[in-house]
Amino acid sequence: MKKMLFFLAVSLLSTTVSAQIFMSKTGKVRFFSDAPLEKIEAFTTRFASGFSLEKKKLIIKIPITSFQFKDPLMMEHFNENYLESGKYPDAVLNGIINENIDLSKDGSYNVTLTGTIEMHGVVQQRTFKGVIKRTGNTISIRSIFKVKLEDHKISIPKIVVGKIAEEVEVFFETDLKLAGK
Amino acid sequence: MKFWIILSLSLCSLAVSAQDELDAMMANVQPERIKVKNAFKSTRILNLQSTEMVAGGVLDFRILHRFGRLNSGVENLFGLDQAFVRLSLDYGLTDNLSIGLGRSSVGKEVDGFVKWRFIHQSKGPGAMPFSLVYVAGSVVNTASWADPDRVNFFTSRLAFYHQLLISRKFSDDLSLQLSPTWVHRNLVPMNADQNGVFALGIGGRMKLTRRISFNADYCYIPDGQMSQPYKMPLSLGFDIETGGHVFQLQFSNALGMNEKALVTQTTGDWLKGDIHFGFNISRVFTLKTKKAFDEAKKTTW
Repeated sequence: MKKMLFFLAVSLLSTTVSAQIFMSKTGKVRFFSDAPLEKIEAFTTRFASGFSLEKKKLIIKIPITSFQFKDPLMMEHFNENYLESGKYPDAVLNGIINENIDLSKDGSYNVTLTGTIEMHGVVQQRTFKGVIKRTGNTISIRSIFKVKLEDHKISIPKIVVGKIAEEVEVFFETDLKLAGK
Repeated sequence: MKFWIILSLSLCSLAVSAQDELDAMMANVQPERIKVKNAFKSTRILNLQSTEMVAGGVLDFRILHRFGRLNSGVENLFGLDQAFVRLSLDYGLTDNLSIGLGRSSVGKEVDGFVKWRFIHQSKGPGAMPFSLVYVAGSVVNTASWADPDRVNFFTSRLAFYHQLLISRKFSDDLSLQLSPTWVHRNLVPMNADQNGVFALGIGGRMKLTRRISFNADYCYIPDGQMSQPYKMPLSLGFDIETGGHVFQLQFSNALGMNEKALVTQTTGDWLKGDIHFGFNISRVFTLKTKKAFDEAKKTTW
């Protein structure tokens, strides 16, 4: 009987440990294409992210259609001609923090995250640099990285060469809250 | 026995928690309702209005050009000697409400319309399967009176039309549309003519590449509404998108470039070769930055 209670306690404990998941449905993403003839930026605040404390694993899922552009025509071309959001609706980042850090208490760390980024249906293995910070029940993550369009089979037609950068800069920031159970 | 049941249960729960709970939670995030955009490349399929709207703050300058009939022979370079034009400006007051003003050389007609999208096709929770757009317009004939000696009324120059556009983007490549149309002419040629003419527009587009699509539109006009011989307008053509422009190249038996002329004044017969080659050019100018962009930028940057 004692043994049984022990097993029960262990199993309950393990479920509570694994339940340390942080979620968010908002955040900030900016991407910036700095080409000689045209500078294009787009923003979104509507995307989902989740972080597992136990596994130090981060998933970010951004609907392509949520990106807002200054010019509606740019937004149309972005969705229709380049990212093909009808076929590939989301950009997904999925990775695990390499550093051995303790996020169970407050603190801020410069970290690297290794995993994949999926865009335009193409999955790329990448390592990202970023900052992760725990404050109470919130985990904040910030990162700036670059994405090569060619890596994701996004082709630039000749007539717009010089208007779209071959490499775009992505900035993201999100505050994830401990998911209530 | 009891012990083993509890043990296996607890192991089971261990196994579940060891699986990626994060993946499961991410998969459970309710997707937002997303509007299905770009059912058509342009606000016209070819001759019919499409459910696409000019975006809010955007001005669309359109040049419609129709040549003469292909069967007019080599002497007229198969119709290319003749040219008919409609110039127009469409402006998006909001993403779902736009106004337009145009002038056609055929019949010296000025036309204006209001276009309102009240349902936008969407997917996700609470999805709408169709887009519904209402178009109301009027056409003024500004040509000199056929018979200046009789008493002519200004109202005789007027015609009105109402259109309901129902479209669905079935896939990235295929969109279809139905457009029941009611045209009212204040003055009709003969006693036997009805002032009101009903037509059912049918249209669609099939993408061939990312920037080129095949388009077609047709109007079915039931018998007994017009006394003079008429034909059902059928147009076949292509959308070609090049950055800020959309070119539409088309072949049609219709010459009319507004809804009244299209429905009530199409006389060409496809089978006899009464076909007009034509093109539409659309050039959009963004006059106002999108509000959603300003808001997103303010929060983000």
